[in-house]
Amino acid sequence: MPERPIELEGVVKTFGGVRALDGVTLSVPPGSIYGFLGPNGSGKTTTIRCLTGLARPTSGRVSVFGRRPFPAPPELLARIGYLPDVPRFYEWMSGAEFLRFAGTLFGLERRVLDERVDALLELSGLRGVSARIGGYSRGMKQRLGVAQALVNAPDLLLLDEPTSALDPLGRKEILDMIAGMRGRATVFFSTHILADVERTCDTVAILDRGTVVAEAPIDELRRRAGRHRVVVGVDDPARLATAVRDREWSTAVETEGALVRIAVNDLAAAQRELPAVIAGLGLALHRLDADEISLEEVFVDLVGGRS
Amino acid sequence: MSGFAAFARKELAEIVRTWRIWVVPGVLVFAALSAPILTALLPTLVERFGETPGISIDVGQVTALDAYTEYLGNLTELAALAVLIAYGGLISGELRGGPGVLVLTKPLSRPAYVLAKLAAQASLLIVATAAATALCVGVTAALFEVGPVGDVLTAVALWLAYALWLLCLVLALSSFLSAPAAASAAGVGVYVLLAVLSQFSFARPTWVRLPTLAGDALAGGAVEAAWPLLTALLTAVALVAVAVVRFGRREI
Repeated sequence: MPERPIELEGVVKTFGGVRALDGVTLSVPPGSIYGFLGPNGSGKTTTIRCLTGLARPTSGRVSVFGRRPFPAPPELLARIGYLPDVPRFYEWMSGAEFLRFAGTLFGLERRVLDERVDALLELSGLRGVSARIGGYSRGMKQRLGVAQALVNAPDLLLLDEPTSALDPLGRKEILDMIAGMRGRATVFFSTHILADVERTCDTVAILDRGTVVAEAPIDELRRRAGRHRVVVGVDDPARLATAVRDREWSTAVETEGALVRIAVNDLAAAQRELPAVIAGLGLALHRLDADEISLEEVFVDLVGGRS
Repeated sequence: MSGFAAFARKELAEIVRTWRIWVVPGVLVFAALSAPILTALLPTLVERFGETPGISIDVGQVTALDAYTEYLGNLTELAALAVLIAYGGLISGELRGGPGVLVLTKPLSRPAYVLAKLAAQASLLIVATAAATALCVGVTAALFEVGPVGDVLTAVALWLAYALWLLCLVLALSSFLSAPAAASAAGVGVYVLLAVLSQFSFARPTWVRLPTLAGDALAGGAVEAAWPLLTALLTAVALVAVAVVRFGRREI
């Protein structure tokens, strides 16, 4: 069995009396694109700081490629690419100079470094930009941040909110780049943008108040929460809600005006039985729709709408 | 020590390409130029502005030695404080809202980070002191005569040893204190304390006497500097070791 790029077991991190991480346990499969979702202040950045050796957990076990990252041995860091939430650079350097400097810290040969710097400048849209980094926009710095995280062709890419400062086009490019790494490297990226996770990731963990409240492949997470949803319009929604709440195929029921929203784990069964239930109650049916539950709804359900 | 050479090159480039080239070297050059010029102008200044009815001030004949004494005084007071103030953020400055986080998550060992910074700034201090001293000797020779250059070099070398020790001190303080101003203030506090201690006889064989010995050397006296230099070296190594160990365990 290949070694797990990341494993956390009961990780606690406290700052003074505040528990930023409260028993975080997760395991990242090799080669996966792993979304680390959570509201602001839920502990995402602290977790990543523990993975990169910038912070030491108060208790619990942190393992990156089977090794403890604090203090981080250089051989371990050589396999990691990291983009912090707000990347900061030597503002007197140009983007190309910074990439070259980063590459020399990894001990890259001159020829490899030249090729890689060229390719990364192209990827980040910074080719031909001779200005110093001090004159870059926030988006340009973010793209340079992604480029420097890739300079060593890492086995594990840790990205903390990689798309937060980007415009829609830049965001698409970065997400496409992340998607392109599937199978070549493990990507662990934190975000509060659900659409990015839905579009790119195969596995997701949801962090809330320092605790992982769900960790699963995205499809399984949706299935657990009730993969589909049926929206029914009737003249007495409260009676229908009561009647379907205990059905096997129903995982969650809520009413909104004249509508009943039912999360279901077996759409066919729900579609078969619902008309009979409605007829049995003597209700008038105005509407019956079915659609997929979004990750956003799963997220809001799990973190209680705190984000 | 992974990454030392690459990071030291970056540090040197940063000195040359940013404001860092102007601070400590600027103070040293100011000390080197102002000492002989003000010494040469002193009789005129006293004549013009120092005359008080009933009081006569005779500054006598000013010499090259007076200019060098002034230069050494500038080094001991002004330049030493500049070292302590300029390097208060030597380690912590790059971590507070700087790119330290990015470089320390690459295969740059923490000892290499600390030692590369020390090596680059020590190199700057040595080169700038040498250049400033050459400038001072040149201007002094033009205004007076060359004077006791051998004594000047001995005195400046002893001062430089003390300045390098102060650099190691502020490096260690910067590894403990996140705020550069706090590290500088603590460094100035230690500097004042050592200046007081240097007046006591028990401090004679230690590095705290180096500035006094520099003055003695300039005055042409014989100086016994072996023990002060040895203790300076040993305590500097201890300070650097403390900085390396402390920084290695520090969360960023």
